[in-house]
Amino acid sequence: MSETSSAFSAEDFDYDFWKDADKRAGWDDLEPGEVVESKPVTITADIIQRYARSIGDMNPLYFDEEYAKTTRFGGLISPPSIHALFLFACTTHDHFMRTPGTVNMGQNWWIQHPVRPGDTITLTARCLDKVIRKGNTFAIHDNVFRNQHDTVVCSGRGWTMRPY
Amino acid sequence: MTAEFSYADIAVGHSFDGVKVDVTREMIKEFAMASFDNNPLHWDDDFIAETTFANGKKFDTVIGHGLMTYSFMVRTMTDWLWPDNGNHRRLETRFRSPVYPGDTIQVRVEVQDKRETRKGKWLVCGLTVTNQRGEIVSTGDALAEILN
Repeated sequence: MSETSSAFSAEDFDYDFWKDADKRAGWDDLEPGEVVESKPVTITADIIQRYARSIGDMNPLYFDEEYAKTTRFGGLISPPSIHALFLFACTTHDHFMRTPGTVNMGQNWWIQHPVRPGDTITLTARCLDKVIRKGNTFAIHDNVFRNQHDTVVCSGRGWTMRPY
Repeated sequence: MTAEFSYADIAVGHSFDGVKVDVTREMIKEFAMASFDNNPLHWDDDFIAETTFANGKKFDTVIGHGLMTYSFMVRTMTDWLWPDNGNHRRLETRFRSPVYPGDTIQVRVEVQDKRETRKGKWLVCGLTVTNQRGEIVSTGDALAEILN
């Protein structure tokens, strides 16, 4: 996670989750507790606003700099659920969350600080536990996101059902 | 945008309807692109048709992202809290049933408890998301921090 980061854009992202799918860890390969590879990304207003629009959220705190400056936030911020995209933006293409058929069962997230345009976000990600229930395999993973000041912005845990 | 409220103004049992959304394939695709989660569960009908889980269950069609539903739940909290003196601080969800294109989903919030800690004032909120058939697609526990 020491590499430098330039502004992240959708053009940088490989949306083909089938590519190299066989190189991703299956349930058997996941090693609970081991930190997996990730990469820092510098988040832009464009990325934040694209995400906000996709959930129909046109709050001026995310779009109107002049307005945002007059609020207690002092400038543009992002929706607290912005971590939804960091998990994919900050991981490599062989991360197991991209395995086709991965089903999200539930999530919990603590929000410590707002993420702002220009922040460089780093991820510490690991599978924490593995479960078999009613014949299905599950992974529990935890993720901690920090900004360029090494301050935790949010941390959370998720359950996914694994396709294999 | 409502008038500013204070911690004392909010009673346990206060509840309200939040975000209501008609879910479409286009919306799910837009979320896939914006959130960088382009799993074929969200756009590939052939993949859905050939995918069966160990319990024998299958999805009817492509499904909305769990984190899309999660995002609508958080949006309900920020629509409520940002204009006033509150911050959304935590949400824990269980995604209980799939969300399909054509569904209309509705978020509802109920303040279930209040708690003052040494340094904060908190509202413990229960969230439910139901579809047009009255089925619960997601439940959640949230914490709102009230600043005055």
